[in-house]
Amino acid sequence: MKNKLYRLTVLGIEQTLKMKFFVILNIIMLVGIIGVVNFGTVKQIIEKNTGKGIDKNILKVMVQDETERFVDLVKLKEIKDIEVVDYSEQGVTEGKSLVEIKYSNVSIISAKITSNEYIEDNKYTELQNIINEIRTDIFVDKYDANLNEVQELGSNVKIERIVLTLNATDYVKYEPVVMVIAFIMYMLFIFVAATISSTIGIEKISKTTEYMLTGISEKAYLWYNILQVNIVFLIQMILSGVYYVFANIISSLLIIKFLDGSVGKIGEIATFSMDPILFKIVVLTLVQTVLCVLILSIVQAIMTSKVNNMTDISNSSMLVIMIVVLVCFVSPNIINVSETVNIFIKIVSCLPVLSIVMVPKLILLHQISNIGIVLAVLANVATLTFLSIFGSRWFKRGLLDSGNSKKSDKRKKDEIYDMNKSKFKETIFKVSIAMLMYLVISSALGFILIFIKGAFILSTNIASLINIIIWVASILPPYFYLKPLHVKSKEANKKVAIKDKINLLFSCAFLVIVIQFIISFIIKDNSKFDIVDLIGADFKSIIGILLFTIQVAILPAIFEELLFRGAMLKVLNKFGNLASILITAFCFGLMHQNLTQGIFAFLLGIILAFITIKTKSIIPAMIIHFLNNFVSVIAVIAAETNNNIMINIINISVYAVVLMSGLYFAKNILVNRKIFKLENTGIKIKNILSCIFTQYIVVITLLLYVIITIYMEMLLF
Amino acid sequence: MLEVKNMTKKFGDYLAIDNISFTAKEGRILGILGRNGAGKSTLFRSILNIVQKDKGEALLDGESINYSILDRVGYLIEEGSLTPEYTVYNQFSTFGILKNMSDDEITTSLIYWLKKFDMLEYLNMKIKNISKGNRQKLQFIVSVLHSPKLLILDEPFSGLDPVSVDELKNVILELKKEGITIVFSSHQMEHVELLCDDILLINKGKMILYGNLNEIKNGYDKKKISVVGCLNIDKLNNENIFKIVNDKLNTYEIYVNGSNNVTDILDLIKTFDVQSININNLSLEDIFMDKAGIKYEE
Repeated sequence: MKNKLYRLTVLGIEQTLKMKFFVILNIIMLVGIIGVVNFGTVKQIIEKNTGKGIDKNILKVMVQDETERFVDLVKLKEIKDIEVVDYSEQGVTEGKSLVEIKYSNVSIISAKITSNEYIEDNKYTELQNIINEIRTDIFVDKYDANLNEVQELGSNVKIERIVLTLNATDYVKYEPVVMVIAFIMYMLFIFVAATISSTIGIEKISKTTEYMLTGISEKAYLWYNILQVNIVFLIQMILSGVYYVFANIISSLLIIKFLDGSVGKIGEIATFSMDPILFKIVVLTLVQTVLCVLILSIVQAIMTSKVNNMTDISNSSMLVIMIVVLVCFVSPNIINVSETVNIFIKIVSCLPVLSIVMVPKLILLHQISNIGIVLAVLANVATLTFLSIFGSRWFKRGLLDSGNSKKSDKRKKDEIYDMNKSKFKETIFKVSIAMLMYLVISSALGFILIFIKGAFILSTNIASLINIIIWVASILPPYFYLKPLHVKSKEANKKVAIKDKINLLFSCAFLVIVIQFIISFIIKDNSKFDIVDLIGADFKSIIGILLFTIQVAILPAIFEELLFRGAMLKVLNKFGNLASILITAFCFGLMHQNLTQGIFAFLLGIILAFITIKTKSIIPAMIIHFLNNFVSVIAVIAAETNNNIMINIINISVYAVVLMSGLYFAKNILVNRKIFKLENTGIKIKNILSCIFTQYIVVITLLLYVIITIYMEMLLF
Repeated sequence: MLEVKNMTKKFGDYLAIDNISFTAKEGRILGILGRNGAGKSTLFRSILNIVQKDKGEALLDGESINYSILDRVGYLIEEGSLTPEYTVYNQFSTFGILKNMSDDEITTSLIYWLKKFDMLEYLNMKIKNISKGNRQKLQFIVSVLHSPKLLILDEPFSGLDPVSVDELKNVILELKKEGITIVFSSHQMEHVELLCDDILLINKGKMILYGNLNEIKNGYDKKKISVVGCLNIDKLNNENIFKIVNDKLNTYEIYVNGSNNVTDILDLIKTFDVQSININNLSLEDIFMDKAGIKYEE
């Protein structure tokens, strides 16, 4: 068997090396590397032979010098790079620069450099140094001061950088190395992932795999593919190295032959200096790279084994490339250079695959012990062992598609039930799209508002008006998206008696008050959440108060009810009362993007959905919603305007409403209990959860809302 | 000799193969018959250990089949199995190594078989440029390249023109003479009837008939009377007639239980205006229809 694996791998490699693509790639690489390495040398040779550019390294300077020290100083210091030429009245010509030095009493000296061309930084610095020295001389002459002291004063202040947690010098020195390694890793993984997925994918689609499995075990087949690709890549790397050395030899020969220069380039490579930290990083990265490439190769192979067409082949390699992007470019940013790394991040850094770029960074920061490094390597070894033992089974299962027939068989079994479930799944998807729509539109418009506020000074009223427009504009698209999904059933036409409606309205209002009370009792410290701060309102003018009322009480009562109870609830209702009530209430809670409000909104949502289902109309829900918000609006207005009479009126009316609705509730509970009854048929909770967590868009929407909620909480508290 | 005992394979709760046992002897051809999705390919995959079987075992000359024994087995896959990007030579090099052949053996054997099918000019051609029929022949060569003891052919005749079918049939018969155990599956009854010594009928994973082809045909005590003429079906009421097929105008096929009853029915038929009468044994297709209780479709 091993003999087969060896022979197959060798044959596979040979066939790849014979491929036209490989040959062309290598020719291009050879020519390209030789070209790039020798470009500078050849250019120098050409310039030397044509007589052009010999003087290019020497800056020709014309001087207008009031102090008359510049030329002397250049001569005195024997600066080779700068040649002083005579000043001609024609002005600045090509290849020459003009330095004007002026003397004044205030700033002692000022200078102007005019040139047709760009002056390189080092030349510019030299000019600056000369002028600086002239200035120091003048200063010493003028005040009869000590030259050394003046020079000391003029130089930059030396600040020693000592950060106790890290060795700043090492870090600055080697961080580029770590970055380059990460980039090389990235390229390597892309190549390996793409090649493995294409070979396995093509063999699977053409069913060669099945025949291969009659000759070798799935494990051998897996390793055959992985080794083949990795060894080809290794060969390519070695070849590239050879090309580089070859190009350097050519370059050295050119230099000896045409430029009479000394040859240092090959020598430089050989005596590449290694200090302990760099050595540790390089060796560690090499070991980790081998392990990680193999791990990710297996992962890639397993993913590819599930493909059934050409599109999925590329998609599967994209997945692994995404993992690599996360590993190579995102994960190092978890480590904050200026802080001591905590134990959590240390553990994360040592996780398989992640460790490949994070551990070198920790080494640079002196934040990881040798035991940690060994553990990180061991984690990779363990993962590789685990994958090579179990990976081949998943690989085989994917290759032969036995998983699919299992699914399709189950589907046949309970077709009617599953039809309902898949429709429900579809609906959940659409609901989450609607929620996503709201989130995206409101955030986008919110950002625009912030820009507008930055650009123009808006009065509070206009800002409120824009707020209202944004709010309506973000709630209408999801409404119009969900609305057409609802098809009226015959039952919806049955009317509910007005008496029942009123009974339900008051009873539910009472429940809302009770919940409001309980919530405010549990969460006492709600003072930091200030709706006025959040929305902003001008309570001095009637228009301001009116806008505030519209914003907080009237519009939510209309539009939120339309979206959640009007569209979403009706769309979901055919899958059962319980499912529809819970999901709309949950969405209603999420939409508030705030924990305290969200919990209350969830409970309120349950009651509002309940009353909507019972009365088959959204008007009672609108009324309750309006009253609920209106009470807080009036409370805020009263508090802002310090109107005692109003506060008293509110108190009295609230008590009256509580009393009346309480009486209604008590009466209904005692006498007319059947109006609260709600049949529950349809989808079970277990299935609701399975429908939610099997759809990635739904999960992403949920995550987005959770993240934004956490962000808002952090912002407020 | 291939022995298969109580082979069972489930996909989830679905029984793809239900307790199938059979023996394929040396120098004989066993035909496995069944409709699409009957479980023929799955049966082969289970025998060859490509899929994990749930129960049962497969023995080749008394040894249970594993990877070392698979070198002695040739397998023709129903569709595909050749990588389009490879040339014929490269593809066979890979497959030869798979069966533990040396490079020389591969070349010699490949050239022998290509000559046999008159396809030598395809040696360095890419597989994607080769027609479907010729690809099917190449796949057959894949299965016999390493001179196997056991040859398993899954639908060997699909995609072949009549001339090629004959060519392939002859090759299979030659191999049979060499003493190779051959098992092949087909949904086309005429191939099975001409080639096979033994047959195994499966339907929805269940074995419904197994045995020597001639014995089965002779031992099946039912007759088919083909009649050309004008019959009144309503008046043909004999308890031994179990089916009458009237596909074409004035052509009737009357199926009779028990050969002793044929004379009675012939008497009955002769009362009508008939042009010709033929009495036949039931064909394999008829037996299948009778056993499976369904109309056999291609």
